[in-house]
Formats: sequence, structure tokens, C-alpha cells
Amino acid sequence: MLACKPIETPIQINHRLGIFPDQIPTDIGRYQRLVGKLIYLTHTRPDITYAVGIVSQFMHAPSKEHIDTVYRILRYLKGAPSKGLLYSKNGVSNIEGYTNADWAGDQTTRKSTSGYLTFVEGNLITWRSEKQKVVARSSAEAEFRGMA
Amino acid sequence: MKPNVVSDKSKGDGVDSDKSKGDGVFIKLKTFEKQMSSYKQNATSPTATQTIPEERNLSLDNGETKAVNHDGEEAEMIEFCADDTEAVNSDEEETTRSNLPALPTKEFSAQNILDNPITKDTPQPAPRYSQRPNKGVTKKQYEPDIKTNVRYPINNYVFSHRLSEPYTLTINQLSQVSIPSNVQDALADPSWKEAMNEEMKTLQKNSTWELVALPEGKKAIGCRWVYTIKLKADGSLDRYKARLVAKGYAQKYGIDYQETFAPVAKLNTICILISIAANRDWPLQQFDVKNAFLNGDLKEEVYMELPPGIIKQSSEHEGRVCKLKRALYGFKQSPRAWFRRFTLAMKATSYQQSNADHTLFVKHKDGKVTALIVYVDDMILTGDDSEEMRTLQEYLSAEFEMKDLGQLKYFLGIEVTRSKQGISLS
Repeated sequence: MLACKPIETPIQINHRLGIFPDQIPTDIGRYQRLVGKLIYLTHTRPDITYAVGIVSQFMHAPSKEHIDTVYRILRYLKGAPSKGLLYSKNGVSNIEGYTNADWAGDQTTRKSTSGYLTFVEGNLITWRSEKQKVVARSSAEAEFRGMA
Repeated sequence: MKPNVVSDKSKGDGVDSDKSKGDGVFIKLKTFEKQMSSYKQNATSPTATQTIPEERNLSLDNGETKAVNHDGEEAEMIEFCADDTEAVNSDEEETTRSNLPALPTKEFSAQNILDNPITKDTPQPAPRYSQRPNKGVTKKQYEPDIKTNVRYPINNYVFSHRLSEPYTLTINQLSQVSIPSNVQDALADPSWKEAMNEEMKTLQKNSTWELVALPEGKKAIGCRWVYTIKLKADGSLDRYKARLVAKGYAQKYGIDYQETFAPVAKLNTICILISIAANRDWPLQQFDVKNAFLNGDLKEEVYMELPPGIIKQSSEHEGRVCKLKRALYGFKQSPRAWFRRFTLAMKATSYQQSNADHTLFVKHKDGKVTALIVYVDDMILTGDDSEEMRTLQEYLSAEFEMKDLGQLKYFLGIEVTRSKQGISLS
């Protein structure tokens, strides 16, 4: 892992990760510890929020494919070290929120994933990427739920 | 938060120390020799073949218990229990005293690490030798290993040569100082004993408990000492720390404790506070409360056994227990007791507790704002009322024992740096 090559993105596009019956299991304790550390890291690294949100969905039954995804996040982090949040003086005094959602992104349950971020006085305060609780029947519904 | 740390940890379990096996004996000899000369224990300079038996002899020596009646130590021990004890029988004071040399001093160990490129770059060899004369004989489990002072030196498992200098120092420091696992071991070492004395003094100053006879139908909860070494930011040894903790797991719900929940600051609130501070150029100050939990008042009636290491032989103290007035580390309700105490103190100086986050306290005065957020014993103070901030700081220092950490630098493992452009968290 120390000699790994850095990579540009934290996760593959259309990763199609899920839990399948024929998956090769991996060391669960190690996986959970690793992802736990990454979750704490998202407090100052919004760029890996989505990827960490995805890998943390498989905490109970990680496969080789999943741990490879975690390794990819680590490779990404190696390529983009010492990043953080910058809170600066912007001269704006309002609160802004942004949200977005996909539709039926989850391979096994067809639930949608949505994300949001809020800015207070022009500085990023909260952000989240989460799988929605219910199955949305349209992309409009998914977007609407992301807002709520 | 540095990525190379994460990846290094992930590697930890897979690392094998076989790599250095070839020159294992040499390294062993080298470090051993160094220690020998520095401790001035033995004048002989061992050769490669002598090394192993020599070491075994030493360890046997260490294992041997010597009954030493050390009056000086005893006097010190009585010192902090003087009000409780009149007559202390000295027979019980015979602590097992190993002739393990005094732990290296701060300067020495730092120097030792720097001067010793071998320990820095190569993992320690596994303690297994083909030329060992008593091959096949199982090694005694509790033999103190004189070479590294710890049973499982971290160098066996983690490569340090890719880490930056501070991390290397930290890792080496971990192997340098052994942490005693029981009171006898700790009492044998002056530095640990001093740490224990210090802790006892604090407890006494806070009037944490009073000695009473255990009432019928009540149970006393045990306690023990926990030892840690505190390292400075650069990895060098800062101080020895001993802490008396209660065995909270023996507490029973409804008898020894009721509610245990205590809020901690939400990270979002901290972020908002930092954002506001950045926008308005407010200063951010950080404080730390020393022995925070010891400040909490206990509402429940809790009895605890006497701390181990303090020997009371007189019949007067036989069967006496500590009735606790203040909370102690380890109790289930300690965090809650501390937070309740802190909230009362803040409200007494007319601060308002936020309803959104109960750990945020705000005061508005003459159109100026002062805000304080507390995460167990760490707190951040900000605002545009510098006078009020100073008053609050003085008030809190009078109320609790506080440590001023100056400008906010490091909070919950997040590094905070301030520049002209703004505040960055990383």
C-alpha cells in the first residue's frame, strides 16, 4: 500500500457495487477499522464523502471488491494530500443549501442516493451523501426527497 | 489526518520482521551494548555469543524479588494519607523492587534515538535465535526484557523508515518506556511514584472522598491505577501520568447511577463557530480543563475501596471505604456530573445555553457576543468582546483548574491553521 500509485478520482464511475451471494469475503474487522477512519476523515475532506458513503454501506459483509474500492480511496488520498477546508471572509451573510440525487443508483435495492451541502456565510458547514430510505419511483421523487 | 498514516496502519498487520533477520544478532548486540554502557550496569563488553546468556542472567536478576524496606518511599506515601492514618505498619510496604535501571531521562532517550540509526531504520529482530543454547525451552512469560522494556516492541510490527521524523520519534518512544501494569511495579519506579503522588494530591485537594465505614447492604466499588506516558508534539517524552480510575463496570443501574448521558459538541456547531469567527475576524482561543471529571459532584451515594498502593494496617482503617463526594474517572455518571457542574457554572455568570446544541454557551452584552463551546474538557472561546472573554477566562480558572492552550491549533484531531485568507481545517 505504501508503494501504491496515486489516482485522480476516489471512486470509479458507475462502480455498480452491491452485495452479491457469490462474493469473496474479506477481513471484516480490518475493513471496518479502515472505513471508520475514513469516515472521521470526511470531517475535513468533503471530496471523499460520496466514496466513503458507498463503502460504508457494506460494513456488515465486505467483499474483495469492496476493500479494493477502499484501497482506491487511499490511493486517491495519496495523490491529493494535505487538503482541508478553508473558512474565509466572503462578505456574504446568508445560508445556502444545495442538493442533488441520482435515481435507483443502488444495485441491490434500487434506492436512490442523494447529497446535500450547506454554506453559512459562504463557508461550507455541512455536507452529506446518503442512500435514501425509500425507493423513489421517479427521478423527480428522488430529487425531492434529497431536498427534504 | 495525514494519508500516509492511514495507509501505514492498514499495512501494519501484514508486516513481517523477517527482512532483518540476517543481521539480527548484530543489531541486538549493538543496542544491548549501548544500554549496558549507558546504564553502567555491567562493565563487560559482551561478544556476539555471550549476548544471549548475559541477557538471560540479567532478566533473572530482575525477576528476583528483593524485600527492601525503603523508608524514604514510605514517608512519602504517608504524606498524602496523613489525615487518614496515624499508624502505618511498615511491613506491608515491602514492595517488590527490581533492579531494573531507572528509566532513561528525557534528554537521554531522545539522544539515544537520534544517535541510533539502526533502531530507527530497521525493525527489531524477533526474539528467536538459532544459536540459542537453550533452544526449545520456553521462555518465561513475565521476564522483563531489558533491551526494549516492553514485551511487544512496536518496531517488530511497524516499519518506521518511511514515516517522517516526528512519527519515528513517537514510535521509538513507545518502545523506550515501559508502562507498569500493577501497583508494585509502579511503586518501584520513582517517576511513576511521583506521578501517583501528584494524582493523590489533586484528589485530596478536591476533597474527593471521606473515609467511612461501609454501611450495611452497600457495596464498595474497586479502583485501580492506570499509567500512561504523555508525549510532546514532537514525540519526545513529556511526563509520566498516573490516574486513579474506578471500576465503573461494577456499578449497577438504579443503585450506583441513574442517568449517564452527557452531550458533546456537534462538529457542525464547531464549524459554524469557526466560519463566523473567520468572517468577523474574531479570535479563537482554546482551553483545557485539568482533571475535568474530578470536578463533577456526585448525587448518588457511591462507596469505593481504598486505592491500591496505600496500605492501611491499623485496625482503625480496617474495613473503611471511601465515600465519594466528587466524581472519579471510570464511573458511569462522571461525564454527566462534570457537564452538569460546568453548565451550572456557566449559567451562574449569565451565559445562555443554546437549545440547538447544549454545549454552546452564548452571552450578549452591549451588542457584543461571546460564545463558548465545550467538548468534554476541551473548550473553544470566541467572540468580539475581548473584555468579557478575559473575565470569563478568569472566572473559569477560579472555578476549575484550567490550562490555556492559546490560539486554537488542534481540536479533536483536526488541525486548525489561520492565515490572511481565512481559517483552514485539515
